[in-house]
Amino acid sequence: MRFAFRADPRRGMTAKPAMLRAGAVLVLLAAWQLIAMVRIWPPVFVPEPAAVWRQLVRTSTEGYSGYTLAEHLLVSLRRILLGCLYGVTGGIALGLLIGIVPTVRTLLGPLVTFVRTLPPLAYLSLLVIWFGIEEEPKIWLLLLASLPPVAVATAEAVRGVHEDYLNAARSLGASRWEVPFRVVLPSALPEIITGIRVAVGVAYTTVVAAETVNGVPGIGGMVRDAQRYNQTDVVILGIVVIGLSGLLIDFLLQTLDRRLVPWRGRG
Amino acid sequence: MPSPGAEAVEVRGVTRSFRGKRALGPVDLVVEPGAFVTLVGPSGCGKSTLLGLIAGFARPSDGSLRAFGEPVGGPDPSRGVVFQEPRLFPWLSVAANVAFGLRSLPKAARRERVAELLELTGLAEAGRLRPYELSGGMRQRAAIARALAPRPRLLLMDEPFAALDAFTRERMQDEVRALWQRTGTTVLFVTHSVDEAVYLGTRVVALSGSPGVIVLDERSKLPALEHPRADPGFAELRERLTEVVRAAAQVRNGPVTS
Repeated sequence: MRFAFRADPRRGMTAKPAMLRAGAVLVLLAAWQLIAMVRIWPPVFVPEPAAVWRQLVRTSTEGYSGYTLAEHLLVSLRRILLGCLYGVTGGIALGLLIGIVPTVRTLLGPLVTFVRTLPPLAYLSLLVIWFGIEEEPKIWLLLLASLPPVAVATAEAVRGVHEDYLNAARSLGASRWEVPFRVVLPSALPEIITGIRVAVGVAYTTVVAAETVNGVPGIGGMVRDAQRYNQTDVVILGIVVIGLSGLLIDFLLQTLDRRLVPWRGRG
Repeated sequence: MPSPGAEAVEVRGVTRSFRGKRALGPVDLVVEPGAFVTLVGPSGCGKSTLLGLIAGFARPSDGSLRAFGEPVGGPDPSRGVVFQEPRLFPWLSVAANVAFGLRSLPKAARRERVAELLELTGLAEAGRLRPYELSGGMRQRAAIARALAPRPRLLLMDEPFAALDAFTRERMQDEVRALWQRTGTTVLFVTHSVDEAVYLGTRVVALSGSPGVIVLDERSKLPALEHPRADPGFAELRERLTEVVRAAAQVRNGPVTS
């Protein structure tokens, strides 16, 4: 029997959808090229795909604003990695506390929800005042952006752990202090990883915006500089690179999810 | 240390109330070591509540609980629990689930004990699998193996076969009977199936509903027989128990109009 909807995500992409996707990209490129060639708008608004390609080659070899494209990207990725590392670690710890200790929930729950509803750029100015314009405020910003989604997801998951699991562990001799680590955290893992995916997404959108303040090197800084000099082809290149690397990061996180949580949806 | 001559379970005047409304008791129940006690009653009569109290998951509102002479102060590895759902830890393999309660053992002894338990429950080939890769019956077997791992003196089973299909259920009943005979563990088995209660119990206890109190408590020789269901006593006890449980359900839900 064949199902139109494939439930098992582990099965690889078959040839047909892959070709369809490649075809869609080609059609899009062709349309872009056509629009650029007929010059409805001047090249400073709509540069040709070829111009963007030339910029790709140039920024990769000669560099832009003193750094190559790879350097810009790596600096941004490093910021995301560091910020998310702190944010995720703090988020899991905080979520665990909020989920387990009612007093902490009462004290910190509303604060976490408040920070989560804020757009990260809203407190960027404050962080610049506190930490200057170098790396520190950027890492802090990403930390603050990625912590709340993970904390909220963890806290919800911790509270949702079925009491049978806790009772089972306790009657198998696990102490009060062991239960959070041996039972609560692992059973909250699926939601925590979903929280991490959200957090990394938020961090990624945030870092590009944050790099508009002293962001070179950095992919956001590169786009910002290009905008100042009306180098639309570099701006578009930056956008494409940001989009593709974002897809790659989410793909890696999905792979991690399947590795760490093979029981998702089959518990 | 538990005293050797003590009763396996001593429940004295135990009640349990939720929001001021009494759900259970007062219950008095003394279980001798080695017994297989089946606890049957209509749904909502508090049989699972009683089991949870003996397991130490909750405190009674009134009365006292002892297991092997020791007051019940919380969950303890000497009282193993099997739930209605297997509740295996999905992030662990079957073998690691069984090993969960064996942390204090040295590694080699732990591995040996796990192999022994998997063998005992017919899961020798399944140790490396994850719980979601097992059938319902195998999952419940793994849950039993996990509960037996720390060698509990008392095994508490809360409707363990309720979610299984009829064939698997009958096979599991025979297996749990064989396990009980081999390990000598005292078993307290909650069920809402009268047939299951009569088939397995060396002692059959019935609870009435709301608040749950004991309305029948009988010893039975049936589980010792080779084919309990073929014995005339089986149908007789089942008939009587059915009447008692039905009457208890009517008290709870009001008279049935038919």
